[in-house]
Amino acid sequence: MRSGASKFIFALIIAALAVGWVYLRLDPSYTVENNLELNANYYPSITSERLEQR
Amino acid sequence: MRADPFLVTIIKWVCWSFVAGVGISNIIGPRDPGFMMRMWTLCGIFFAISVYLYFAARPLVKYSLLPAFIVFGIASYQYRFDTTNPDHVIHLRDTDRWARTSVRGVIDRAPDVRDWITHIVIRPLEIDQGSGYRELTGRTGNIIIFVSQDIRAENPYYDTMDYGDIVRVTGAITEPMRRSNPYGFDYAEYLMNQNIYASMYVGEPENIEFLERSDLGIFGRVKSFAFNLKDRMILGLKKTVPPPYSAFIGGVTVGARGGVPEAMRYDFQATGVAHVLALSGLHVGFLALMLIMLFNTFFKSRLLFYEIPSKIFRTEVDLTPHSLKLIPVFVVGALAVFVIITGARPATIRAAMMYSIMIVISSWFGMTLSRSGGLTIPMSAAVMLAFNSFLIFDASFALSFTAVWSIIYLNAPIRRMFTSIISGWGQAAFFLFVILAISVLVVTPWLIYNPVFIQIFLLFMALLFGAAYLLERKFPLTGFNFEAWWPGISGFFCAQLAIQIGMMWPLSGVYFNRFPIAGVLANFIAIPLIGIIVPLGLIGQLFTFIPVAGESLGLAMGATNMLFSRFFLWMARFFRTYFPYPVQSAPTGRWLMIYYTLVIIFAFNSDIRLFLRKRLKITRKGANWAVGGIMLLILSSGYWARGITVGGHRDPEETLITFFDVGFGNSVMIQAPSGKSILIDGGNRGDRRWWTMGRFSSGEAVIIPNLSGYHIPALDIMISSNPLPENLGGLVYLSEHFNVRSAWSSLDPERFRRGIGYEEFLLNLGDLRLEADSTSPLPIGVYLNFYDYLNTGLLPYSDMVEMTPVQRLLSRDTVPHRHLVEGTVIHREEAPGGVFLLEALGPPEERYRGTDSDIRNNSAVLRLTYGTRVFLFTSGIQSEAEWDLAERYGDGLRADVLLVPDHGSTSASTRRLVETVSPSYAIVQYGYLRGRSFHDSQIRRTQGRYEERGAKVLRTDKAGAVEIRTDGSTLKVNTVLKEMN
Repeated sequence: MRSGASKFIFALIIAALAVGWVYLRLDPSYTVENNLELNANYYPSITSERLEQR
Repeated sequence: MRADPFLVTIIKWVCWSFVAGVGISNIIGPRDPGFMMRMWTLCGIFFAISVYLYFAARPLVKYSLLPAFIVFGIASYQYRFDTTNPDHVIHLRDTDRWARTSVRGVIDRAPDVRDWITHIVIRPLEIDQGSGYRELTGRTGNIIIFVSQDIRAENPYYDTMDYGDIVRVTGAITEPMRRSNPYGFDYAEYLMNQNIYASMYVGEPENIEFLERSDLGIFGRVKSFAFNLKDRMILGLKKTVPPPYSAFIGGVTVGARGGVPEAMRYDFQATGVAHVLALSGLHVGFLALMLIMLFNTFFKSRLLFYEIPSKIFRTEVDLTPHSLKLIPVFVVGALAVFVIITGARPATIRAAMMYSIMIVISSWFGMTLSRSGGLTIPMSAAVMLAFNSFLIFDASFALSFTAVWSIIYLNAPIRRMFTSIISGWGQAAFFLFVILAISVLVVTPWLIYNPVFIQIFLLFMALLFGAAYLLERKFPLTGFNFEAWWPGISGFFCAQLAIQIGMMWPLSGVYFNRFPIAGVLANFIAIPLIGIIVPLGLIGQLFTFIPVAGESLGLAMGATNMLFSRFFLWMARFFRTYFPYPVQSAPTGRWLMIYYTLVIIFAFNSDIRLFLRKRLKITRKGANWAVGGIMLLILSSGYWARGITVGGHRDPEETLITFFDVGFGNSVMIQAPSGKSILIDGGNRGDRRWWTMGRFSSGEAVIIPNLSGYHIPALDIMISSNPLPENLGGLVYLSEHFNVRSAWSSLDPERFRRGIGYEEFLLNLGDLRLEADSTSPLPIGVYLNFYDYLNTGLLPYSDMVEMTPVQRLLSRDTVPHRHLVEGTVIHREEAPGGVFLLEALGPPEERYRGTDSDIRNNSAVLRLTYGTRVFLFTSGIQSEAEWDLAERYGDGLRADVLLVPDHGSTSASTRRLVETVSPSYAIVQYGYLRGRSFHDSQIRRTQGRYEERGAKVLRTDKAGAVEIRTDGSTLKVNTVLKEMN
């Protein structure tokens, strides 16, 4: 695979992290705890506690 | 190491032969075990000959290997049908649905968690059907268990069910639900393709119990690892992305579609980007490219594979060339894990195999990627079919391979076409066509259903392209050609057009009965977007595995991905709103053969022209005209020849009447000898908000697929016998999504106009009981359904005759809506078997008022006469209307076939009607609908009344849909679920 494509993927990841960091600054309510609460009905059986039990 | 060209050719052709063998076996269908043994024997003989030829005359070996693999394919397919093992679950099904069979089995795949239910699949090990446990041996097939979420409160195992658990399940082993109408989705067949032959339902907490973990073995451990990895990735997603974007990203990355809202799914289907949500080769492709890039970067690292080893060994050491050989191993391993994580769907297996084979043969054997395509397609198809021959006509399998074949073989001819033929003025005309088409579809989407408009538009485009061609010859437009496009855009454009030509246009009707017009445009945006969302989603989920900083990195990545997903979903909703999603009739077998012959000639046209020039010494121009002429000849043959149809159909002088199974509802399809199609009622609408509207949409789930299966592109006559939801509901969907040419109603369209208010509706309906009970769900449900029904393309016939042709062309409302009362002749024609006449015997001009149910008694009663055969369709009439009919018509009411009134209710089918009509066949369209319909015991009482008079009673809930064919003198009656004649 050409190195140009590799550079593109890495640049995409860096850019995504940068944009995400800005968004997190603008929206303080976007947190892990809030997301977990909102996703309570999405695959409810998959939780940190259950996965640690396995 | 270089690939031996002879070996490559042999591998290619034996793989295609095997695929052909499986296809042939699918067409001939299952045969007895003796046939399979004969095939294995023949196969052995051919293989023995091949071995001999390999040593004696190597170039001839392909002539024995090809038939060997064809026969091998036939035998493999037949082997899958072998259920002769007495321990196979197909022989263990209970006849009593309340049976208490106990099964011990091991969960064979990751549980499929849905909103209110979880599906698990078990491989049975032991069974107790009342006489103690006994072990099951040999090929048993699997059982799917539907575990209701209701047991969760008392049985915590619901939340921890896992692959590899050994469980005990108690309940009745039943046959999975089979398709009960002539066409449509067959759930039992879909399960059989996955080696599942029986089902059980667990609704009580004590009916499922965890026993122990099974010994997984090495392959099982790999699967278990993959499922665990998937769960952890889903957990990472739940932490970093809010709903509904978490459901969307979960679906497109690891195939976790459990939380995707129904509306979102429909948006994707309607815009032709549903393949984005259903994990396909596209996702595997993105993953494969990402993995290749990552491993390439890692394994090419000078630090890791040159500088550090050189320092350690104090000499020049370059391990890079050798380390690069390991890339395929890691990529193949990672793809295999991904396939397991995502549920091993045919599309993902196909893509993973193809990428794996491609990267191996290009890394280790030096074959270029473009040349390897010709080998990877047949190899991966053959390997997949060797494991599961039933995949041959699975939608995911067929669409996936067709798409990739199109990309590989149609890309170059399309590029040549745009470079040499559609260039300059031609390209300008092409863009004008795209802009015009988009404008029309966005501003006036209903025009796509108007055949007059379609013909005018196509004629205009033909003239436009003709003018562009002439202009290009006289005044060439330089600088406006395909080579000027950016290579990435032009390549992507050619690939998308290749997929549309090779897969979407011909196969959308076969598998989905719909054509997503927005698909062409939507995919140009959707695919690059998914190329960002999928890698970011996977990387974001994997970030969460990193301790300490992982969740923060995942959160940032999730936030960005949420923004991209938001745009993607907005785009899908935009296209869904402004672009139509019309129904497309399933193409006939002959049409598909003609179409794909043309496509293949187009794909290999340069090879064909080269052959004509070199071997037959034809000039270049002559060869071009020859290829064009051949294609035109094949195209025109479709207009003159009668074709093979996809399913069984009728003879030209026959009338075919189908009583659909729509659960608790009425729906009858009549196909007249001339080909005219008539539909009486449409079943339920399936809106769960209102209990009066049934559990599923009959229009979408039953009528559309069957219209498509019968190759009916437009419905000539649609009849609503009464406005009850179980009769009218399905017609709303049909009117919105199908080409209906005319409509009849028992309610006068002049009095029941679009936008009618609730009170006026009840007043005009004249049903005193409904008026008195106007706040209850039934009259509200009747009104809502009818309101929406009028809001489709219906227009009172009197308004329509006043419109000018241009108004009619541009109007959204194109379906003349007429009133039927006693004496109305709906359709009449002369046919070989006699006169075909469909007429109304009711309701009377002066409607019933003050009866037990005026709305039912005022139903349309229709009589169909063809030759000497008579059919009576009584809709929902009750005792009052029945007595009145018997008084007025007497012996004239006699019929060979009767649609039993009101779904077999005991308030209808009076002795007077039964004796007067005296049918040979009485059809009951019934299905239990909790809170709405009556019970089976009532139906059996009604059934008894007809059987006493010697009638054969057929119930759609037991026998499925009923098909009756008549040539005017004989009757042939068939039921979908049980053969009888």
